[in-house]
Amino acid sequence: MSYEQTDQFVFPKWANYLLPLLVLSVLGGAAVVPPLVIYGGSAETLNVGYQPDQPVPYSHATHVGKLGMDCRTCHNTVEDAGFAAIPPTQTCVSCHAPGTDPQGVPSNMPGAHQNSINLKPVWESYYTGDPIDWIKVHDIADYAYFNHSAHVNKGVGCVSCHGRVDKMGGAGTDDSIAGVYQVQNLSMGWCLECHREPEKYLRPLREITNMDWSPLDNDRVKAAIAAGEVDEGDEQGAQIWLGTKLKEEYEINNPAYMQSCSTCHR
Amino acid sequence: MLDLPPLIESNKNEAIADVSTIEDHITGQAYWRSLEEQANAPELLDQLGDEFQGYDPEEIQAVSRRTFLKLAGASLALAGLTLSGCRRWPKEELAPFAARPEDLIPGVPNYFASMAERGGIAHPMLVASFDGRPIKVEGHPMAGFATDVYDQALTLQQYDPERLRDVLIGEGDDGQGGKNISRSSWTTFESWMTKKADELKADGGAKFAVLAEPTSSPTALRLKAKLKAAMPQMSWVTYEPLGQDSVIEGSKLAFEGQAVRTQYDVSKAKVIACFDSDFLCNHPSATRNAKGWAVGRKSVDTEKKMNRMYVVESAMTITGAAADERLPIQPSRVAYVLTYVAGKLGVPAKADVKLTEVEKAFADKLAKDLIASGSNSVIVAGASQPADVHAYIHAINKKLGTTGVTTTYSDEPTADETWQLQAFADLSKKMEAGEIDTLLILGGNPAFDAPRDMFFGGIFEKVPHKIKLGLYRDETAAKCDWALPAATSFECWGDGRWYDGTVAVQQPLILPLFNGRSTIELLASILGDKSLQQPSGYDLVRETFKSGELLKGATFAEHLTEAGYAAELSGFEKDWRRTVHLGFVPGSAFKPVFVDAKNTVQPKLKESAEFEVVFVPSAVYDGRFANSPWLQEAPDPITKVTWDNPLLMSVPDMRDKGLINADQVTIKTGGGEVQEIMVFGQPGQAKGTVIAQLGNGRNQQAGSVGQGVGTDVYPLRVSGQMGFMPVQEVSGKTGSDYLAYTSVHHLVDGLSPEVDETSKWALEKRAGKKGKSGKKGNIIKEGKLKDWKKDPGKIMGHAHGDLSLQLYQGPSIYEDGSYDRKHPDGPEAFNHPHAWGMTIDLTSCLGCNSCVIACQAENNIPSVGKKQVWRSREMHWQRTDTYYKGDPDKPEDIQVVHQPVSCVQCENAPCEQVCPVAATVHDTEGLNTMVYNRCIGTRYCSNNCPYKVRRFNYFDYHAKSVRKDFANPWLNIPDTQQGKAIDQIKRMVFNPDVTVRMRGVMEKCTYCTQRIQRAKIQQKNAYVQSQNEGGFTHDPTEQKTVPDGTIVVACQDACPTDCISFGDLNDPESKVAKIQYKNKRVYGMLDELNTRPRTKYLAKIRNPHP
Repeated sequence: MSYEQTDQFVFPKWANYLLPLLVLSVLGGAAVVPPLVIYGGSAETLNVGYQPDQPVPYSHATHVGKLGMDCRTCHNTVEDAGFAAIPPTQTCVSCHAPGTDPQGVPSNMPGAHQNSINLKPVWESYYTGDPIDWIKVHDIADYAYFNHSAHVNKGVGCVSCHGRVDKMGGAGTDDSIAGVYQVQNLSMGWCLECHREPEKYLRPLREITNMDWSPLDNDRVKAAIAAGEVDEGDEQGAQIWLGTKLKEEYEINNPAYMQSCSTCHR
Repeated sequence: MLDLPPLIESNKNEAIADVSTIEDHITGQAYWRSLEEQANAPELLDQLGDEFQGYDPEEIQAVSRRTFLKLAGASLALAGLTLSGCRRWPKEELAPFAARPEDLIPGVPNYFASMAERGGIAHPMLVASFDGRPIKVEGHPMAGFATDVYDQALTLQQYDPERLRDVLIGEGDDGQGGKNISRSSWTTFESWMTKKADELKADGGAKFAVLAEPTSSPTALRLKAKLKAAMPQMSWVTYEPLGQDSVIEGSKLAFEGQAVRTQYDVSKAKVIACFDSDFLCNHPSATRNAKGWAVGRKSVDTEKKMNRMYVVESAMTITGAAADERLPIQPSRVAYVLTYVAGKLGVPAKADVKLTEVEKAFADKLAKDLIASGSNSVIVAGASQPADVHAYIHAINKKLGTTGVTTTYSDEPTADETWQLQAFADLSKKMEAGEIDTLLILGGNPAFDAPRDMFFGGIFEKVPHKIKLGLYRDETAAKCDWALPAATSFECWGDGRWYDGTVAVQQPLILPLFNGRSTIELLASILGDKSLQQPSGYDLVRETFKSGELLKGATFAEHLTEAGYAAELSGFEKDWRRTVHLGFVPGSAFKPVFVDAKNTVQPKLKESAEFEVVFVPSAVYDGRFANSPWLQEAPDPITKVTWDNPLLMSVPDMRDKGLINADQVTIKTGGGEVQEIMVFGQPGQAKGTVIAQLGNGRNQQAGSVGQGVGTDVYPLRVSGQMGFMPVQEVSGKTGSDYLAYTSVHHLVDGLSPEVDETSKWALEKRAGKKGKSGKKGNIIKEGKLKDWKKDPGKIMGHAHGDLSLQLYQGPSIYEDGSYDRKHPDGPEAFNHPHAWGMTIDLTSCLGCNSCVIACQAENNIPSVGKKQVWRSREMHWQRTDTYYKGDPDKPEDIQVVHQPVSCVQCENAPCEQVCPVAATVHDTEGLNTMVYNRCIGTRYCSNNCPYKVRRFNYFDYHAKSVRKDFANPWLNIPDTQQGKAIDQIKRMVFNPDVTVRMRGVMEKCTYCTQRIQRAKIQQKNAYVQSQNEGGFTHDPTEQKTVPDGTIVVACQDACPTDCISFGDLNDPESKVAKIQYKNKRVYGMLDELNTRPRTKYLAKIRNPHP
């Protein structure tokens, strides 16, 4: 076979100008990509503020904030089960009974907002028995097994993870504002903050669902302030003083146990 | 598909054909798990070192470096482009109930007492229902006995997407032995059937026949009687390929025509003699027998006494493997031995029975023991033995006076008016003569499993109208004009009787997935009960309970307080609710029947053939579970073969014929011929016998999993010889294929002695060197009761192993490196607040596989398929190592030890020390946890695990079809995303409390950590809630830790002999602590490595005749 010399595999001259461009882009990439990946892929960026549109614009602000309903009125399995169940349609209907039955015959015991168009999916579900497909907001990975009952029975308040749910959603008649959004990033590092030092977050069991509780309101803390054990107005100090006491009372496991993999992963 | 050579081919001379050199082998181990290991076959050693077994190295290298880099670059670029890491994961929806049922808490499993019937026996069970899905079968705690493998596998069958989904009409011929099908509906069938029933009623139903599986269901029997009343001339025939016909017929022979069932109380037996009976595993009351047997074994600790089990058999069965004295002989010789023994006991017997020396020695020992134990004996023959053998045993029982002590007689609800096979033969004749117009088949699969001299050869086609109710469109349904989908036992109401006669109720946990109906609902609709709009099983079962005698004399107070369940109700409603709640009617067991074996029926003594074939169930029972990958893949308890049913032969016979494992032969009997069936040499099997495992070898009608697995051996069988029969010919090798058996996998002592001196030393140290007395290995410890009583130390050897030679130096507070876990200053004690531990008693372990399947069901363990198993990639977290001892050429010499092995949770774990990402670390309670989401799949841990209990997901096994292998797996990157690829119906069987693992992740047993967590959280919550009411008193007596017995792990629950104990070692009163700290038989496997296993074994003690 003959072999002919050819220019085919030789770079043309103008290609020399590409070299500085290449160097620039490599350097630029090195400066831009890591922050992009680190920030763009962080749990904070991905999760916090997630607020999907729900099939029913349910407002926690109205129900919890304005009407003062306790979380457990609807999420009634939270103390007994790992899963704080979304209430069945029946729970909604116990207040919001439809004005008419499916045939249009007026009911003799209509509930609140019986003409609201927003409640249509609820009544539809009530009559057909089909579930309302809510969108999961606080969605942790399938290999992590969070158990609500294990936390609310040990003095971890709802607000610690879910934020001020009583202020989420439109208050009053403004139904256009969507519902719950994610406040914490729910990453493993965030979980461990509390699993390492639970005393920073514990509260008395009766205050679990209280949305704006402060350790300074607590009678025992007030007594401790009077006794000089806690400085007046030192919220953090009060929390640690009370949390340490509660940790003992509630038999909270030691941090080594709570950081064991099997505590959350199965 | 790769064309794979048989695994052990060239070891022909080494493994099977020539073992004359065994004694001279360097190892010559006293214990071995396979013939290959016994002969130290070089292929086995090669295989142990071969990571990518079965893959052609050229093929692996076919992916050049250039291609690899291209692929790697491309995948990186793709990852970058889509920013697949940088987005929220897919949206998930929450669908709450519109109206949540009372007592149902989403995410918390509910347990329902129910039952499932097989072979006319109801099996009690508790079924765990997770958000409306039945996902796990547990033993019924009040029944007093456990579930078996088939019960455990029911949940997988429930979610088999290949079950029959619709009513199908079959017409014409599809050219493949089946009919062309079109979809129909229950309504169409009902209107057709109503018309047909009226037509049939005209002549008293003479042209109507029902072919059903045996049933003990009071409702089914009630409806059967009703149907017979409406059509007095109809025939109702029961058929079960693995039925108890000869047993029932034998009782009729002995008791002047009265069919009775023998109830055994094995716990009272001092001597148990089994004549070709797999009494502890393949018997209608096997799990209960096993429980009783275990009582008499465990008494070695309390009373230094044990029962003694004699087994005369042809195959090596589970019962035989557990025997103290075992005699492997041809099935036709069993009657000889029995006659000889009976003669010695003073029962009328033929004199001058000629026995061989070995037989005579055995029979003399047995007779002597039976005379000594008298009424405390259990003698039982297997269903494979003819009726006269069973009748003879009743006479022997009478002589020994066992009635009322170890055996009682009761009614036999499945006994028909005539011998079942005879009735079946009569029906066949009628069908052939064209006298049957409509044939209704309720369950079963006669077109596959009927004896070949009836039902076949165009007889079936002579019936104009054939209706089949079943779970699958199987071989029979394919030939029928109506194929009706049946409901599973989790989908419908029903009832039945346990083996002891206790009435049980079956309650549905889920609506029929595929439009199925139960037998009783179908019968009621044929009866045309107009009171039922759509016949409801609930009403039918209630009706039976309301009108019948079933609830009379029920002793609910035994299990429920008067103030307890359903206290607000009264009368029938109260009893009914309590029955459904309990799942059975307490106190409703059969009352003893008093019968007398007046005439002694002696068994006929027949000439033995050169070869005799014995029919036994295969892994898939009679074939009904063929589409269950769990059962297909469970290594056979004895042979360890998966995904196949080879013909089992004795080792000397294989040598004579020049056969090796996986060679194919042709076998011919009076019934027919089976070609190209593989053979497998089974140590301990009697010379001159071949074992045919019924059930596999089904065609495409079995479903995608079951089709073409193994070879169909039903063609060998003819009526009258359903148990065993002479073989006309076993040919020499006609070909060969490959078998996937796990006895050559995960060898704990499988180091090559040629490697170096250390390996040689380790091998001897662990497995024990043949010929050297007193030196026992640290894997298996066993001894005779006699020696145990004299000197336990001799059997146990060094209690703590040789710590100076430990492989893994752990922290120690003692100078010599030894370790005391109970010492408060002990390092890494892993005991806060619990210290989990387990014990497994080798003395009572049967090796029955129940634990293996229970673990698979509980922990979402995938099945991988035959080829993957062949490559040592089976995923079972728990395996049972079966060790043999003795000369494989002398079947009577073989002794067996079963050792279940799952992760032993080493406190000083070798796996943890090599994980580069800390994906496997200890928790504070001693669990060697496995964090799947952290695992990067280096497999270092598995390599470093001396117990070989870690399993690696080479593929997304859950998403992959078990019957398909990747043509070139190296180029299949990336794999299909598991979450999307798993079938929507198949995934319903998953336990939501356990992560479903993906490709590239290591996994292993973690003591059912999900059950531990659930119990701990419940206990803690209850504690805090109780304290919160009365103020925190800090009462030290208040239980904050989980009390003993609360947590029952999956394998422990399934164990029929209770040989597994689990609990908290911190609690000195717990069962497991008592055993681990006080029982003298305790040892740690491979203790000498200083791994400090949390799972301890109890040495096996045998009780042979002195």
